[in-house]
Amino acid sequence: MRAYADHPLTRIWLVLLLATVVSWWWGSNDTSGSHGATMVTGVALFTIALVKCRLVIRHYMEVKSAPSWLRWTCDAWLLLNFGMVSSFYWLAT
Amino acid sequence: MPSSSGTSRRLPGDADIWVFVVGDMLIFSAYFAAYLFTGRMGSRELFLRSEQHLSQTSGLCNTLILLTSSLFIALCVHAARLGNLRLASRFLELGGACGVGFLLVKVFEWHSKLASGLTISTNAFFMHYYVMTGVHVAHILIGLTFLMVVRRELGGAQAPRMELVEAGGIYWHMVDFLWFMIFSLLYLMR
Repeated sequence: MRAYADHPLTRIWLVLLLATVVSWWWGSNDTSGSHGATMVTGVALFTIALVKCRLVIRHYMEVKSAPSWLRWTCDAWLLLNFGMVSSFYWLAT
Repeated sequence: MPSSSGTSRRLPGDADIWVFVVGDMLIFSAYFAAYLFTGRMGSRELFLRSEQHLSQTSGLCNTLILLTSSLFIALCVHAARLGNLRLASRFLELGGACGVGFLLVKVFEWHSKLASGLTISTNAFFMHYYVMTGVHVAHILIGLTFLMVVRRELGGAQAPRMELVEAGGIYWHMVDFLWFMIFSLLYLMR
């Protein structure tokens, strides 16, 4: 089990851990009052979540070595969600 | 196995699990759109007030727990592929234990909300909160059942079917990353 301490999968986990703590800290300390600042913070926090999703999809679900149709499908889904959230925040601003 | 040259591609698990997983991802996206439509376009002030009642620390704990469970499951698949089934089983059990830990934190969180009088019928935000987290918990329970099937496969007399082991991992990772989005939408974003 110790051999896995420096495994690439473990390093991905550390990156995911760090991104989670950063987004939690940012979300917890967000005092922006204006709609514009809220939009930037909201979309940025969601983008961090999508980057984390992509890391899990690519490395843990092994999509990085999957056929191109699956890689494109997963990336298209991430883009769809980014577009959806950005649009709702932009329309509400 | 992926080739060392990286030129040949292979589908992890099998096509069936991917059809299911991609379908589930799209269903969750539709639900996220419904949540954002209500929260951003309709009842923004109500949602902002209601979000204050959620514990971001509880959401953080659950995210860290699920992240760790995903690591264990990924290591389980890796160890199983190398033929180290004993270690693979150990990783699988640790991943499953994290899943149970997630459920305990979620039950504690729900209990504290219900004890404060915040139920599914309180307002539109809490309706979305209970439905979204409830559907996700249902996925965790299905995932834990799937992991038990994989555990049995790893402990069998025959060599494990790697498609099944990988499919269990793929499903569990999907449950993990869907939570990332729920955590952001419900707990962090304003």
